[in-house]
Amino acid sequence: MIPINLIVRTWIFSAVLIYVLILSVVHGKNIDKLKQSMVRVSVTSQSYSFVRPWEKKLPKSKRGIGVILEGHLILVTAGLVENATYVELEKLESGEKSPANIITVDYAANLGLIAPVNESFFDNNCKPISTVQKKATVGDRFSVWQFEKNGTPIVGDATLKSVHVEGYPYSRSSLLVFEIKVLLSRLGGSYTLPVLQKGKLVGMMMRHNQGNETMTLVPSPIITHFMADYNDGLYKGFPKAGFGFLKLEDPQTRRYLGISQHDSGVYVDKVQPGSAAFESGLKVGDVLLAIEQYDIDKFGQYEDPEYEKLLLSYLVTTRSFVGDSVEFLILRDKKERVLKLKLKAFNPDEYAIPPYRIDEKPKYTIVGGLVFQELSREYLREWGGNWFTSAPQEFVYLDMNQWDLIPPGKKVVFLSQVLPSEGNIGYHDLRFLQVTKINNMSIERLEDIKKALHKNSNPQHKIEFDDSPRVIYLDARNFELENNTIQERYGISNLTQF
Amino acid sequence: MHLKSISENRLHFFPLLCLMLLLQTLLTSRVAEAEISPDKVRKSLVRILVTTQSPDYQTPWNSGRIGRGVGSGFIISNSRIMTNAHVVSNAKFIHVDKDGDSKKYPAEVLFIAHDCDLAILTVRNHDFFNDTNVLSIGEIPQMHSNVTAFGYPIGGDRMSVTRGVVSRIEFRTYSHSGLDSHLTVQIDAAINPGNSGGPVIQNEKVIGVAFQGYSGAVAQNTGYMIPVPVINRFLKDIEDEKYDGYVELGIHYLNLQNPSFRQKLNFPTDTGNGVVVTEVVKAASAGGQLKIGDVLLKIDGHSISSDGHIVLDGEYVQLEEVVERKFHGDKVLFLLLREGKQISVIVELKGAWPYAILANKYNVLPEFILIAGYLFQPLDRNFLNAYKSKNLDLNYHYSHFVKDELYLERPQIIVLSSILPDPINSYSNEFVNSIIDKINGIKIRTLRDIADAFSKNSEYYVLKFLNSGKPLVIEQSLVDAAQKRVKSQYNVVEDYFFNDSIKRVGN
Repeated sequence: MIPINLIVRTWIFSAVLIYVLILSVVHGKNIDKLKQSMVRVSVTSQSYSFVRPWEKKLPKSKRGIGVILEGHLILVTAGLVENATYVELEKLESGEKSPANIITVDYAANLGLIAPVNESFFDNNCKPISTVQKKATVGDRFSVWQFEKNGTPIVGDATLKSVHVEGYPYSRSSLLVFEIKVLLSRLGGSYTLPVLQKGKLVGMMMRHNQGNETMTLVPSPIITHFMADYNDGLYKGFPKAGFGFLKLEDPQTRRYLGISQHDSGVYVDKVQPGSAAFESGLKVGDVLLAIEQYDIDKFGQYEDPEYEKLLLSYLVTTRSFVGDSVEFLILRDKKERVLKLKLKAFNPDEYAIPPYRIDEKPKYTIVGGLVFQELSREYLREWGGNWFTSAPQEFVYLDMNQWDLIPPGKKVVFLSQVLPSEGNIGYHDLRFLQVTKINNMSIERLEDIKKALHKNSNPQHKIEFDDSPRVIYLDARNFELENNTIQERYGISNLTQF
Repeated sequence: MHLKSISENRLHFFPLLCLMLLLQTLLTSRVAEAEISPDKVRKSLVRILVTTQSPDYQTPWNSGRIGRGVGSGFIISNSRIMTNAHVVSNAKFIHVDKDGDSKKYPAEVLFIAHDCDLAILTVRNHDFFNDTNVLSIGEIPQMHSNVTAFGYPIGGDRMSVTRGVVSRIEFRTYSHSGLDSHLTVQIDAAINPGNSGGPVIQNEKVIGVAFQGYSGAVAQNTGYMIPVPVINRFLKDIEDEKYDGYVELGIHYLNLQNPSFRQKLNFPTDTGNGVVVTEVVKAASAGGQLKIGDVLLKIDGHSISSDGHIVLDGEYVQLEEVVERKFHGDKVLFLLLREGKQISVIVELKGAWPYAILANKYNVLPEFILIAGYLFQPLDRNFLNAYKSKNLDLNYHYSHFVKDELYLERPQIIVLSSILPDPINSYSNEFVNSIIDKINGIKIRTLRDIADAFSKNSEYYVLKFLNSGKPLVIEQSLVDAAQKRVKSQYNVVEDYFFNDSIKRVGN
């Protein structure tokens, strides 16, 4: 039992402490100065429909607070500017507005840089904020910045709860995050907010759970890596090794694999074809013992000089740059070996089924009313939040096991729907079928369809699928006319979009 | 016939047998028309009281949950009682009584047909049949004609009579197996739990067996009955004192309605006949006989239209109806076009075992083997229902088992379904719900292969799973002690059960 007066006293003490801390962080003049280093960003975004790939969906508007960095650039999260059709900046104090251009976006790292169309938007008061360079420690105090309509700042006091590696929203890659504890109700559904530590940028809000008062940030080390890459000239992105691993806790498995080290090693479970790991010769079944001078423990963690125990992904993605060489110490057939990985950038198009496709038109081609597309995660996401269980299960299965099931370099071309017309009677209900061949030519990517149709001299086009009905025929003689009729009837601007 | 994947067949039906509910329900029983005297039916109507025991797939070593149910039945010739299969499924003890007779008689199941939801019972004590009336089987009723349903809906001690008209005759999924579709007659008489197995009468003859209702907000006053063709097929099947079940042709086809496709085959484009075979299930009757790309023109002399229909006894029905009416060993004659030539192909009909995993199973104990706390079970419909699993791998292998002929490689898909915790398996939870591929390099094709693998001497048992690189490793020296601990800790009486009565013809 804790005496009640102690609880009350503790409460009063913490209240006073919080007040003092707020005072120290948010100091009168400081606020005004910092306010001029931030800008309201309003974005109109319009994503492509992957179900009717010739259309764009209803435009949406999003808002957030961007941070002015060195070089007349404004940092935002990629989430704020995805599929943007119009980006507008607004000064917090004067309300002055200016359209902005997107300079670069990295969806894998969930960061983007924008700049006003007219540079004169930046006046002398717009001082760039620098990014925190020293390491963060759990318990550090941060401040989360948002603003009322009239520009009055509302600053939320936050505490760093955890530094760890987790999956970012767009890519499958795991990157560093800061998780902070903050009591804050977000104004106007802000998409991102800057988080500062002693006047310097320490992170950008990526996720916010108001219920348990936690916020996940794209943290300063990721921002620093992103900016260093950008300032280097050509933006290359975060590196990726291209393998999956599982922990090796079980002593029976460790004895079987002959791991003599007491506590180290993870099991290489998947290797992405064409990746740096693949090209270095890493194989499923290898036990990864160390990366460079860092020992990897049985959970896949290493002792980071700054952040203590972190998942090994951080070593590859953030402590290295694209083009760097990294040494892996592995155990194969109970013998140690060293593999050299030359790191490549994360690129969604290297996947047979890309994990995301943003700011790009979906690829499709409509022939004789048959709509052909290349399978992407974006297409599966059209089934909504439960796409994993509600989207066509053959496709989800293919997506999950693509490294094993799809030969390198090949895309999944499929018939997504049929736009009914006279020429495709009898096929109206066909959908979700993988195309294997057209006119006996193998279809590896969407562009192949056109070639396969062109080279045909028979009166019918022959289209083959991997599943029932296996083969169908379309009239080849009146093909153009049929295509034009369909285009007009269903109001489709382009029959093909690559 | 299974021409669609199972997921498309999930309809919202409820089996009519339910546990006795203490409901105070007013049943307005309209007086039947002069066409039948209720007294005559009363003398053949039987109330069936059943004690069931349903195995629990999550603890397959237990004998299962005990439940009670009530259904209806009626006396047909040879001292036999006809009812629904679902009334007496998983029954451990059955007794029957009659309206106005307090005596209860023990009964036993003679034949049970889960694929068409019919069963035959008998009562050894012949006193039961004193002063009873035998009902005979009639015909398919006309649309919109009056019918009268008899039974013991929602329990109740007295017979209930409801009347309605025939509103639709069509193919429909029988919810008892959840897989099979047969001819079904929809009537607008209320069919309630407990009505199950009761006769539906017209002109003093049985024209159907009430068997399922429709639950949901959309439809009201709809009941379904098993019509005469299905009843007669069942009665004919058991004439040799054994129920063999339906036969499976095992093909998918594409309606031949596209003009270009017809042109390609040099068929007239306007007046159409013929369908194209697009899938042949190897383990079914058509396996090895029909080929993908065959154009089916006639079945047993009946011309097949370009939408897969034939005219049979003056009715326009799907071509499958020909097979639907046949038995094991019967033959079907196809006239077809293969590689430009017209040929005749005879297909001898049989059942197709791989479909069994897609249907609800009754009266069989779940197969399993428990080793060192690791529970291995074959994937089937009962398994998925019990675990309510949304696992992608499991659902994929279930729904593609027949379609992609996964059964050829693995007659049984064996899943590590759960782990009873013990020090030997402390670090293995990540493997739950995985499908086992190999043990020590040997492919696992049935549950028995697991037992065989573990009966061999080896320092390590290395279990590989599908779609995963990392193996599960078990040291042989630890297994025996763990097995003893797990069996006593978790009260596991038997650590395996194999049901080898299911015939499997793989590779």
